[in-house]
Amino acid sequence: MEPVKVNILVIGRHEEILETVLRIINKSENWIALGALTDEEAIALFEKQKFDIVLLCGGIQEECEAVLRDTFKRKDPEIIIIQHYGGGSGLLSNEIIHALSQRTSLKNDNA
Amino acid sequence: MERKDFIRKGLMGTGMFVASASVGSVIKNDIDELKELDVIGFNHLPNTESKVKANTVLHKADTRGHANHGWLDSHHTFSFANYYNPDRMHFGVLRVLNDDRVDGGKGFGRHPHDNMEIISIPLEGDLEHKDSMDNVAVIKHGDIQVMSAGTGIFHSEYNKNEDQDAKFLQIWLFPKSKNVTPRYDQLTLNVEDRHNNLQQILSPNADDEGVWINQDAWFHMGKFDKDFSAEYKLKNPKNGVYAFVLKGDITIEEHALNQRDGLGIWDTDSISIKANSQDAEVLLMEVPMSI
Repeated sequence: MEPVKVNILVIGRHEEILETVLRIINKSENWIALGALTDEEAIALFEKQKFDIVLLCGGIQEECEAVLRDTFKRKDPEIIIIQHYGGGSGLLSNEIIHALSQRTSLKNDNA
Repeated sequence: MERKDFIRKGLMGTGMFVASASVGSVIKNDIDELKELDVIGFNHLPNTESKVKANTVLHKADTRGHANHGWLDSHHTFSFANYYNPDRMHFGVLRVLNDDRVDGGKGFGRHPHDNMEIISIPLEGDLEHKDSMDNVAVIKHGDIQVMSAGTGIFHSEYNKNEDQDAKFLQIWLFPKSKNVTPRYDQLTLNVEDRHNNLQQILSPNADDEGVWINQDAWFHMGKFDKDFSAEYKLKNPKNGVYAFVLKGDITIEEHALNQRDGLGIWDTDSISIKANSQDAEVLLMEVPMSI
């Protein structure tokens, strides 16, 4: 059976850091990441395709984050939105694996 | 992944991330992009229960994550890179406690960080630091280095000496405020001041002892004679304290600890410390428990 692909939308204001984060995520065979530098790009991507996780990187102001969270949750109540700390650091894989395990636990609890 | 593949994935079906594809230089990440290690998880480790009391976690040295990349040999108290243990994600805002050995002349190339308070404490040898704010510096045993990564910073850390290992602690705290202006600082401490004393090395206040960071955290270091005892009073009883034994044997509260053991305690306003060996050394990290 083919492993399930995980689609990840990464939003960050720092271009080089965003590029690093995307490259690291896309090194994983089963993770597919797309990036957006602006809220408009992010929302357009989210409207266009299904994502499993939204990763918020640095530089996003609180009010923008609130709008993004609200927009994504309204369109897909099951979407997982997590803050990425560290800028493509050694925490990135951990954050995604942890989010996926929490989602699985949640789904099992609701089943 | 090759760069062309990255670009293909980044652009796939959208055209939204065109700008990134035009960036000429690829910034390496020196942890995630090291050679692939086989193990992702923690089942290869003696996976003891961390919580030993309602308000206490114990992380014995040999239960830490371990990654040996050759030039870099790292022990992770909390989940990091290829080591993932959901029981050990963080202690309050303390997210990373890496105990690193770096071969002579080797190190971490230029790589980015954002939104993290990064503290380095050299234990042996010298590290050469360079960053995107034009700081160039060497830190050595007795120094402490802090970086508020904030909106984004690039840095490199290399073992300054070709013929000697460098050993240092890499400590990351979640920031109190996100997206602050990046900042670098380092300080040479008088290590004599920690003999039979808890020497403050870090605080949230610029005018206090030690370096300061963007978090309500206080760090202290002590080096004790055998049987010396002390009490640490928390600055804020809502915080917790994570003790990491650098050398020797130390009892904290009723828990006998050995070299590189870690003990986290919360819901208390003070902790008792007693040295069970000569020249025992400890690092205390008082941190907020909520992120």
